[in-house]
Amino acid sequence: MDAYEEKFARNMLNKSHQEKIRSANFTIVGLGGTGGFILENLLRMGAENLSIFDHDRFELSNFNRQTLATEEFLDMPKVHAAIARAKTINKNIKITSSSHFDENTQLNATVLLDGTDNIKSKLVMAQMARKKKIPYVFCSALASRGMVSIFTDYKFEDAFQLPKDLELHHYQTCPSIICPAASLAGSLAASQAVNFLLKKPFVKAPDALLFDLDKPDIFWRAKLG
Amino acid sequence: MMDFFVVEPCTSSNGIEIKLKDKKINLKKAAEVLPSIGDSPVVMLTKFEGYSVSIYASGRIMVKGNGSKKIGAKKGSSLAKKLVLLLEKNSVID
Repeated sequence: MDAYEEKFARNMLNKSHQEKIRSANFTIVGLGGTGGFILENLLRMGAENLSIFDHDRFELSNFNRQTLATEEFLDMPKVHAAIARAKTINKNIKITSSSHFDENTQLNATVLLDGTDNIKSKLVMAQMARKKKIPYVFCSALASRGMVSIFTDYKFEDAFQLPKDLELHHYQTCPSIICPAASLAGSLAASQAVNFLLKKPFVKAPDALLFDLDKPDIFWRAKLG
Repeated sequence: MMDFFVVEPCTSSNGIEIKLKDKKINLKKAAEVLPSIGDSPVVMLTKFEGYSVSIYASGRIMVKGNGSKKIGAKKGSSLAKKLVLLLEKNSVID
């Protein structure tokens, strides 16, 4: 048994499923609250081929919820911190990174995962994924709440009833999120991406899985659109 | 005066962010010019005109508003100019 096999044997996956996770390209856009936990979960599932995007650096106000925000990584570009973290878990990781992501970015993704916090980036990701016929794993967290869904053919614009002449900046937010919500949303997104890849059940848009950690019934499903 | 940008990091955050263009900040020197209320090798916390300020070695400065009162674009811009000028004058910016 080599080191990779021993590290990930307890994922309880057969060899072919583990190999699928190992070789698939998981592209994560945004490495903050949800994105950091998406990355961590995928690394622990044995993902070995990643592309990551984020333009920002870690600052003090990130510490309450972003798993990569540490004293060591303070003021460091998030992509650099993510690479350093990834290599501590799997030194054989193949990881490409960029501080820039837009509709012209060349995607080599098997699955596109959303760790962003604004509707403009989400819309761009959803449209690019639809064009390339790859799944877009939508993930969002705010305060104690969160939402996850995988978009394959359903239009993101319809799910959130975005007007055609959308003035995107009106929708931009800088969410205050508690760590358990960011962590749960990110973990669910990573798990849904893996389920999609392994052809296991997943929440397909327009269905969405929602949660609110402050409610007695934490989880529920809803139809978007 | 050197190039810098002032941005409002997000709609719901009460603060502004100043980014110096291709410049770094010497935090050791910054602590000689502004009162340090906490520091590490990469960030110094200070006060400027009553506002809480985080100065990062990479060249980014975050200014936080007081309570629920927003700083606003005009005030933010004038604060940024004063702050950058002060740091520049005292050779804090490399």
